[in-house]
Amino acid sequence: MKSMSLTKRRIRNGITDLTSVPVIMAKELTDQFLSLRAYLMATIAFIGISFFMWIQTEIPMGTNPIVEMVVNLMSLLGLFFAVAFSMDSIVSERSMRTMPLIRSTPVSASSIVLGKYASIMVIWLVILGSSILYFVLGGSGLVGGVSWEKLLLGYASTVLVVAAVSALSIFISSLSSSVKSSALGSLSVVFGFMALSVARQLFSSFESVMDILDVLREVSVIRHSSMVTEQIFSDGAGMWWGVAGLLIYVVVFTLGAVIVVGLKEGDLP
Amino acid sequence: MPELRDDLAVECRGLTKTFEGFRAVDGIDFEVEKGMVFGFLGPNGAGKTTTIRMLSCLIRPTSGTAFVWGHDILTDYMSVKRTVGYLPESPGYYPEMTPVEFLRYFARLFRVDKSREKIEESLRRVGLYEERNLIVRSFSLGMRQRLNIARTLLHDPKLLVLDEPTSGLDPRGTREVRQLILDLGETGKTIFLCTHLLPEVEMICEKVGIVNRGRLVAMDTPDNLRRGISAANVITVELLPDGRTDEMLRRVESLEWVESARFDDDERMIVESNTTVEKRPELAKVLVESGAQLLSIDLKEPTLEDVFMSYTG
Repeated sequence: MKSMSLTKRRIRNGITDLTSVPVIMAKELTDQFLSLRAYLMATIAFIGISFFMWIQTEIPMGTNPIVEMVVNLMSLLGLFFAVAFSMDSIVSERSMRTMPLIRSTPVSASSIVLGKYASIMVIWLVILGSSILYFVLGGSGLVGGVSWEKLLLGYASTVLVVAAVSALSIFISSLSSSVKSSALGSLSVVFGFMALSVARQLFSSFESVMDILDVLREVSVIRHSSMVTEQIFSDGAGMWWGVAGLLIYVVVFTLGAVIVVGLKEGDLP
Repeated sequence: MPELRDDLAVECRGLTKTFEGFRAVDGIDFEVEKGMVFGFLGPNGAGKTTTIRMLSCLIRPTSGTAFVWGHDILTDYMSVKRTVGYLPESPGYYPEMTPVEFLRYFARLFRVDKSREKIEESLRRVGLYEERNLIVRSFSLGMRQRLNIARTLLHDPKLLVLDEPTSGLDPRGTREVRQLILDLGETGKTIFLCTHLLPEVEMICEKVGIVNRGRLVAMDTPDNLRRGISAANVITVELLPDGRTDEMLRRVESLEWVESARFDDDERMIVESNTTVEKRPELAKVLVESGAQLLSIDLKEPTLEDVFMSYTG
């Protein structure tokens, strides 16, 4: 009975105490805005959007195709953004030997994970916000107005994609013992999922291989994210399956990262 | 369960940690009184760091427990963390931060006063005030160590747990950090100093625990520990170099009461006996018969190093 209540108490302290999330998030945001990565991502987004606007001036095709292209670009960019910003999030504290310093303070595992997670999402929202502004200001002049509903839905879908891939990548980072192995793990998973459609074409005549590839396809974060973005522009019903899939990613891998950090760093039984 | 004593800073009860079947710490029981500078000694791999990581709530014991200022490390570990200032061996740092930013971040995590005045006061205490706006990447190892000591003091902990605080430092850095620890001890802080540098312990610590292969093998004041091994009767013999031979060593070693005999770095013969009975006359006779020319034959005053060697092999 005693060990049961002890276990509950440790889980409660390790998981539900979120008081230090803003502190960790603020520190991470300062670090990220001082690094080149965020600016590199924003520059790619602006160059991409400018390119689509230039196409529009050369070959006018209406607002929606442009919005779709921008959303697809941001979705792909979000995928790499999430990996680039999350893959060293937990493991870098280990490699810099700062994790024991943090863990010697009254900070829970969930505060560490969620603080870092929140900072990644805030940076993405800043990049998205500035790109919306840029697109709308340019778009209204060039294409004579923008489909607000599609644009906002499309951008919301990229937030979900970044949230899902970041959760996965933070989870891999929490399991890793070096930044290199974490980066390799995260990139392998994302590129692996990306390569699934090619693999399906290559192995279309092998039934047993196709069965495995089909299962992998069902759990692929890439498939879920493309289900969402594609369906926004074709008004299909598959969108909610995609949203559900991405949300499952967020919940499962965020909780997984909290548990792994808690177990590895002594919070949980 | 026995009552907790008010005068204890640390109380370990059967503290055990097992890593994949290997017992790194094997049922340790000991107590450290409040206000004491306590030295925790042991060879590499003896279980020192594992013990202090458990006391600082960084890892959980496999069995047993410990109380820090009356807080159970198993059930009340957030209170333990507020009570302990932990300095790991080779602590990490954020290279792009300034000392002020570094300390402010940790003050926020400790949820204590993060005002500039408070941070600067901490930096003055460790002699880093002038460097407060430089980035930590440019710091020497000793400066980083002092910065981390400032970090451990941010929340005014009652107990400081320092793991090899002078490890890797040059003599100047070692002296600075040692002096800092002495100063902190004088302010009434309880200090749990984990080290294998014996001169450091002799200089600083009021009480010493020696751990070997995960078990506590001795615990007392340095003086009492030294007295405790005087029964081993370490005899130092000074000889003229001419008559010194290996055969002489063998003859001494063959004596029934001799545990070991060797020549030390200063070319003196060191003989350890297993009896408290005076054996110098007998030893002198054997040495003279072997052709030695004796200059002196004395009972050696045991050092903490002798204590350490006798308990840890």
